[in-house]
Amino acid sequence: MIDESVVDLSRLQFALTALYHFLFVPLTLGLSWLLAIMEAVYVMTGREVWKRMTQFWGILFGINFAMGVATGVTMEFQFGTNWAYYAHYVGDIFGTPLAIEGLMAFFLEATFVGLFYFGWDKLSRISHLVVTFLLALGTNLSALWILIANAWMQNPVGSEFNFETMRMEITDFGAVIFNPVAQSKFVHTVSAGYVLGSMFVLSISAWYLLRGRNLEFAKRSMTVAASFGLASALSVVVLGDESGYTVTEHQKMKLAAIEAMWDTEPPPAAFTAFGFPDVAERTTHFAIHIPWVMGLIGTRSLDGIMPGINQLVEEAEQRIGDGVKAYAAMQKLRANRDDAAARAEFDQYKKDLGYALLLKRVMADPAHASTGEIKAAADSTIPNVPVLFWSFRIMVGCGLYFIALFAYSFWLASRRELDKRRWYLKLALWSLPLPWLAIELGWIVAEYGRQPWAIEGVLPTALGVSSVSVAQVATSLVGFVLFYSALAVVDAILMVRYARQGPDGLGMWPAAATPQRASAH
Amino acid sequence: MPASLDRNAAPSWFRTRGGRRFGLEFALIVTIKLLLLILLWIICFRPHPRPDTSPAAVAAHVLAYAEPPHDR
Repeated sequence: MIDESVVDLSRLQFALTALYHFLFVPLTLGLSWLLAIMEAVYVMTGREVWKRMTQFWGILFGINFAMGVATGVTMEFQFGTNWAYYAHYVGDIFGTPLAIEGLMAFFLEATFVGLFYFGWDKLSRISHLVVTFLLALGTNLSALWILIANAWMQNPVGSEFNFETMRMEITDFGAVIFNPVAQSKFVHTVSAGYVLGSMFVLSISAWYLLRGRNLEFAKRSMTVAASFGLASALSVVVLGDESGYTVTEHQKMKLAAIEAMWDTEPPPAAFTAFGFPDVAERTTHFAIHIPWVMGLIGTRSLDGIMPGINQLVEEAEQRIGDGVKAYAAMQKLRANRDDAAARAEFDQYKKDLGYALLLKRVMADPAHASTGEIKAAADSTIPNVPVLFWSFRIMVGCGLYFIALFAYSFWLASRRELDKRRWYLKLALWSLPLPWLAIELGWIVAEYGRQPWAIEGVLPTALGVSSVSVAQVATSLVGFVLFYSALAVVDAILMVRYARQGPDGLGMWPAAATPQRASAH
Repeated sequence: MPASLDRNAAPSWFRTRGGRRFGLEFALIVTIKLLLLILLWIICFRPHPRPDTSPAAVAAHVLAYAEPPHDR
């Protein structure tokens, strides 16, 4: 049998490294565009303060970049060590966008990071602005290729299983690149990064205003952050809705779990705003429903049916039964590749082969599965409902809060009253961790919600792990925790140190712009 | 605005003492991190067995998962 301890530890290790890496990536995505906007204003107006703003926020961008870069590489270590069967099974497809990301986007990003810092006195204003735009483009292209790879795990299009090589192979690379899940995930994810970047600038600038330092510098920064943040926060919600729509189409169980929708409701389905999902009873206690909303969001119609968890489990049972037929046919085919009857049977049921592999967790040979074992495997297709239910709601709550905060900031900026309300400045400051929280919860909804699949409907997560021991995975896990904890401490120290020093402390913006003179304006 | 190099502009902050210190810290962080990553690889990952992912081995893994005989 599969060693569940190895599976759990490997998953924990991958989740920790991915969540950690994802602390840095969205800030890079967001800050890079904010730098480009600030520098564009500098080039258009010629005002030195905008150049200094670009350079100051560029310092914090640099710390984040330096600390974050290569923390994702360790996930690729893990594909080779802990997830060797996963890497073999789907590496032909999954590896391609990752390689393109490394060769194209990351090198673009890394090259222009250098030019951004060291090109100020060597390039013309416009050339340097182009560099900053290309830096932002490079970071965003990195995200694009990673999300194309990730989207294929959620919706494995453009590929087919080859029973002779025992791996998935590309049949249509265009379909992989233009996967609708990739498109919606990309725009949703980068918009979330833009919100984080905006909140980062807004919060630190609010701290300067609370301290009465760098007033003109901070107010200009907050104005940019409020405008960009408002547009981005609205985009996150709109594009998140699109992302949810693609989930309805391709990952019905994930959506039903997010909604704790145990049974299919008459269309249009209600949205459960609040409740306590009970997995054992398969019900949601104290549920507060908003009629029609989920049906309209999920199906964009009044008559679209959204299946409930119980019905999807029944469907999974059927698919596991068909998958067992494909599995048995594949065994015959591997013994005699000219067996025409087996090939016909395999071709008929191969789309459900992955469902038969779910049985591997409980038995060695799925071809001999009993009804009870099939039922247990079907039950295992239900992800962790309470975690998904609450993660999604907290994420959405944060998203709506960001719209309100950025809208209010934008209104204050338009009235030139950003520094007039201390409670607002404190609120902006203490809101700093929220985008990170929302982004990490979004990752949990997307990836934990895909369980038990590594590749939706194709490869169960448990079957992707290498034949390593618990001790080996635990050793590397401890190594990661120590390494990443040390990095986190250094990152926090550097960020706080440079942010506290501020433009005035760093000698970046003349003392004339700080308290006494600024307040006299 | 002129596209040529702006000779009259104040020198970049990155050329000042503080800027050079930042550049040094940036380079140090990246270098030390890469060294630590190499160390992590050597200590935690290199000792792992190399999985055999030949079609036959994967078939053994997927078709009849017994005790894995294929790691070396």
